Amino acid sequence: MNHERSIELIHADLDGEISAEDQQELHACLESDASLGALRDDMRKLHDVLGRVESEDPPPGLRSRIIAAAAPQFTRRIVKPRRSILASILPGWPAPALLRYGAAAAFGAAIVAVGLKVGDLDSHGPADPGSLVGTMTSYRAPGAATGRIALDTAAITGSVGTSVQNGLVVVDFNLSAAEPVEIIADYGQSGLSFSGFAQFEEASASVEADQGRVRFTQQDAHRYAVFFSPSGQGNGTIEFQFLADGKLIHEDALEVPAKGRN
Amino acid sequence: MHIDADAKLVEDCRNGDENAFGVLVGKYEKPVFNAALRMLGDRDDAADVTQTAFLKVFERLDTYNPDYRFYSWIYRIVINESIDVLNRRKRTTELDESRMPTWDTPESAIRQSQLSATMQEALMTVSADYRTVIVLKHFMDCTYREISSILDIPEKTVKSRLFTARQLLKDRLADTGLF
Repeated sequence: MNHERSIELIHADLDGEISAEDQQELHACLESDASLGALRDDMRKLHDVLGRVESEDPPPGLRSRIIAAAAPQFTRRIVKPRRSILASILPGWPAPALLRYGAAAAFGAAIVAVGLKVGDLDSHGPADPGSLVGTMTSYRAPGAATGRIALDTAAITGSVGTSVQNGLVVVDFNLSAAEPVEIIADYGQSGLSFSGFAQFEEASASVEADQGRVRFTQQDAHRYAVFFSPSGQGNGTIEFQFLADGKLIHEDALEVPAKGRN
Repeated sequence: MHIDADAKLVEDCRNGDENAFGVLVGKYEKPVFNAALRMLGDRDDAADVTQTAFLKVFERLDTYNPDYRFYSWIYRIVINESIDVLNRRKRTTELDESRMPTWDTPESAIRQSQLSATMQEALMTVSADYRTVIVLKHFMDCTYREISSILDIPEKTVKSRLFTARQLLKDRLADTGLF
């Protein structure tokens, strides 16, 4: 009997991939060569040990992180962008008409809000810009990120990135939260002023911008963009707080590049 | 495995059903993560590779051939991604002790944890080719034929690698008290 063939039969038997005919052949091999029995015992023991190793649970938040990361591509995949008259606004923006649509809607609303409530405004933006909700039918990341925060907590996962486009600072919130998470972006010392807010179609968040802070609530996987414009001297830093049930779960900061502030 | 169900989910993804992608992730997140973990011995790297594998699946949905099993496809991707990570590691450091497996060991699970850690250490001593067949056979429950399809190598080569890999693993484990 060929030794190599005997080994193949032993492994095939342990792997459950042996035919009845080969089983008989294996039986004959084992009877004719006692050393094969020891090999089979060793391999069986190895099978048993390997079988006792349990699967590990993936880290919390991995699933939502994957789904959140795919979401923008999904939208690109399934939604055919539509042209808009607003495409002419913010020319040269890489995310083109659709993001411009959202931004422009927000700017328009901002102008209206400023016009109506000028007496209530602070230097950072409108006091009640709840109507500053631009809606996008699609979304693409607005240019190369200049800064990025990655979040992978039990409550919220995803990323927050900054980029500069056409003199505006864009803060891109690409996050997913199973339960509502309040997000506060404090730009009070940054030398920036709030300019607008855009979001995915069907998302329904609204934003508050007041006293140098932008607040909104994140739930599920949605992507939002907040726009700022340079308004004076500052440290260029936007500080972020993430709160669940009123408790701080994460804080971080992003520095806006100087060219976005000049 | 529900092959037809997976093919339907892929088809639904292609048609824009975002929930279908979520179902696929939910169904295969754990096995894909574990395949990467056993290949790499590092939870953070395994999580990154898992995410990359699913995103590649998503990007290549249009190329998916329903004649093949979905899990074979994603296992092929996760193995290839893991090998890429191993190659990058090799280029950056010969031996980075921080990459050696570390496992949290809550008291209630200490025996399982020790077994897992011992096995992982032994796995990391064999070459990626041998580790791959062990992972696919023993942790992913693939048949010889499936491994052959995933790795695109002849079934005979699968068997040969598997037998050698087991012998090496047995030798590595011989001093650990597991044998």
